[in-house]
Amino acid sequence: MQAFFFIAFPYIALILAVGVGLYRYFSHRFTYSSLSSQLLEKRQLFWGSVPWHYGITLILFAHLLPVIFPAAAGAILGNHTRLVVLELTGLALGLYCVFGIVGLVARRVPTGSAARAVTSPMDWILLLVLAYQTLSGVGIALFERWGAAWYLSTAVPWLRSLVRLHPDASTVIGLPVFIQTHFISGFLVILLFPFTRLVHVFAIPIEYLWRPYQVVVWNHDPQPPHAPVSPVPVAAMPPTPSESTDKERRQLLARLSIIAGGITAAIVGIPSIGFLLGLRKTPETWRSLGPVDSFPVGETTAVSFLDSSPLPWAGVTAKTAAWLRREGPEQFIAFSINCTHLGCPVRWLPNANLFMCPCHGGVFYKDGTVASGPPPKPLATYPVRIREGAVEILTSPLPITTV
Amino acid sequence: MNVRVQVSMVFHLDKCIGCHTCSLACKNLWTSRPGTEYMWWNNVETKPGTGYPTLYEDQEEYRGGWEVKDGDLRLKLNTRAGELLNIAYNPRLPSLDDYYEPWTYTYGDLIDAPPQEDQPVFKPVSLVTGNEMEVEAGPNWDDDLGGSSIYAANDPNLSSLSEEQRQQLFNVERVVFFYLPRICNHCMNPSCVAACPAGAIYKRGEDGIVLVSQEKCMGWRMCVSGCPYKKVYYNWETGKSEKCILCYPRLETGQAPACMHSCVGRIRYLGVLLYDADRIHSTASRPDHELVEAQREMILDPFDPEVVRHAKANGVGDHVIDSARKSPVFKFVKKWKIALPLHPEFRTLPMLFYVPPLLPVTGFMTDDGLYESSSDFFSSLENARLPMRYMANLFTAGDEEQVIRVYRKLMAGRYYKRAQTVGDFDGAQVAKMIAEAETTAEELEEIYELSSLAGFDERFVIPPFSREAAIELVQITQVRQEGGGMGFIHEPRRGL
Repeated sequence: MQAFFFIAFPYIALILAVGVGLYRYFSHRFTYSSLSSQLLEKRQLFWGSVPWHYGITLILFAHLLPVIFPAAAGAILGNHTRLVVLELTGLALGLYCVFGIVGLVARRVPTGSAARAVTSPMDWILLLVLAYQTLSGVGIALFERWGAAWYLSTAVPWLRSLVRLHPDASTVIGLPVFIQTHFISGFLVILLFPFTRLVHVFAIPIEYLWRPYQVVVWNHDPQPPHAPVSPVPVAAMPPTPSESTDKERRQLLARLSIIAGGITAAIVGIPSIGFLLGLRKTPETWRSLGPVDSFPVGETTAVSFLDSSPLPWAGVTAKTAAWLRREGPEQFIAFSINCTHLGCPVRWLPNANLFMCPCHGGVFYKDGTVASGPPPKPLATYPVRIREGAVEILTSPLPITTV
Repeated sequence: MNVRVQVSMVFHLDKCIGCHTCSLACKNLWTSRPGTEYMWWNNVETKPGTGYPTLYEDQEEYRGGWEVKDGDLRLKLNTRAGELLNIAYNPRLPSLDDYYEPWTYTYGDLIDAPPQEDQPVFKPVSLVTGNEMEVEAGPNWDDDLGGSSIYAANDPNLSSLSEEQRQQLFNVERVVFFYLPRICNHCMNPSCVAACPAGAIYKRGEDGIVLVSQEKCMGWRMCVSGCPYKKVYYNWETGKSEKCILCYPRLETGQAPACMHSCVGRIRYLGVLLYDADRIHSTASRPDHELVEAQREMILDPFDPEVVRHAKANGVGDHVIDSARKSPVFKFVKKWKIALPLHPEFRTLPMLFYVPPLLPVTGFMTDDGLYESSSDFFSSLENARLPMRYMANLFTAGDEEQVIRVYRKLMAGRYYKRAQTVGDFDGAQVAKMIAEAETTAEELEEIYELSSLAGFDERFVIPPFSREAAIELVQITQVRQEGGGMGFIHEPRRGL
């Protein structure tokens, strides 16, 4: 069942969205817009439409960016202050959206209202799904704190695995059902896209920013098929400058828009192709952590190292961390820093001899086994070996959380 | 010189009797569909009055048209980026109440009512919601209400009149009004086109008609705000904007637009004009008082060999140039200079022109019951019942001098003909008037002929229909009139 919802359903939704979306655009372009009811009722619309559209746009970006740049998102969220600020901002935006969607639904409810008169059955379905999606999102932010952090270790790997066409739902299968419904209804929105007024998302007229103000359409070529016989000698007849400059300008603009489109396509396309080609094999690399003598026996230390496949431009975001414990002269254990509950970074408290998770109060013993709290499994470990007096760790993408 | 062709119209306001036949012809032909009931692509409003939609001329509210800011011609509505940011909610959109809520009556109640004591009655029901409604406004609700403290008093064009001038307009004995028929102006510099984010509105190169592509229109509604004349309407049923199409399917088959063809007063003249498209931007950027003259300069003389040469180089056919020479619009606008654009200060370079109405005769009853007109038979500019200031606000961006010049010629024409036919005017006085109006007896004779005697073929001059140019002929565009619109291959249905 979960395989259907987290593997088959997303693909069904995406295929329908793209396929039906294109079909509708090319065969029923007349319907490819949102039916505005502002003419009929605008006071309530203002309080619904403005918060909704601005809020949901920002929220959508906040959901998309970590999927595209997980390492950078991790680096940003690694700082506690930044995490708190972003969590609060997200919650505020979510509440802003709820305010908007409630307004948008409420104005269509009263029978006999003008907005009700122009509401179609699909509008109702869409509004309800969107309302559920927004409310569940705010609910998650309130009751499953630090979503900005654990999103990175649960939904992001799953979504990226979908993009890579290597679907792997292991990171989301164990999540609470409430969170899972948010994911499913998210893909339901994508599925509804081509069947509802939602198509207007892909009709935002960005080209308005650079197109000429005036649009003149010739039903026939403005030039006559045969050049008119001019009674004036050719030399005396100046070329009509307006036409040539007009044409040049049009060509220039056409070229500019092709270049702009090309750059945009490259920005989106190259990383996507990179994903598809590059990340299929699991890269593994031994990284040195320093001489054996620098780690006292019986102590746990934070170590940082480059991850297994750092991107050339990754900079500091390519660094990853682990807790290294020297048990005996030749015995080392390297713990993943991610809590097995929702993947937040755990912290070593030397006085208590415990690992503590700041998110939901998970506690682990010094050997990584669960002491208390929600974590279902012990901390994950990396393989460690000693080579020529130095400790080395086998870096590879670890399943960050076990749920 | 970039010569383009524009199908253009002149309204001779003196002849308009305010019968609204044009509006009905248009309504029956184009806007009798669901979602368009409230639209009047052609409407006739009473001036002074608030117009339709109400107070549409107040651009501080609606931000229609263009403005020159820091020497740059830009949309008054917003910047391009600002428009996109407002795309979820257009703050400058009129609401349905600014037009009126369309309604019908429950006529069925008259037939279906059970036997009862009282006569059955029908009730008004909204065409939007289907609910019973209180009718508070309707088409031409302010019809003939010159002097009304609700409508006429709020006319934005009265704002720059002196207190005394305004008082006079509302003095019962002097109450005055005239009719202003309005359709889309098919501007040379249309601000609806410029405001459309989707690029769905366009001006046809061949004849200058401004149209909304129903397929491309996304219903962002910026055109409704962008048009200072409020002549683009939002169809709330299909979610698309619609506007006057100058009856192009009729024009392409050699017929006059419905409004023109049905005009009882024969006030309308239609013909082609040639204009220089290179000068659009510079003309629209001129100071207010130069706009009318600059626009007139943009309109080219089809008798000038240089113009003809450039026109032909641009693909304008001989038959078009020929009809431009016979164009009644060219005569009124360019040759005689007595037709003026409506609100040139909106800077859209409107291509419909108005011959301003002559001042109404001031009459009174004598003691023995006979009707006498005032001593100065046709009144005079000085004691005009509608101040020149008001006319200037309508037609010349507030420059009284230019309106007075038009009126001098119109008055001279009247006195000249009166002297000729009735003979109760002194010839010397008439000669003086003709000189003052900077005209000649021959020109006045021509104006008289076209204004008063012209037959249909002189009032309606378009190039002969050419089969290769008439795309509409291969489609029967009116076939879907009932279903929801014309010119579609698919039925314009939104689905669920």
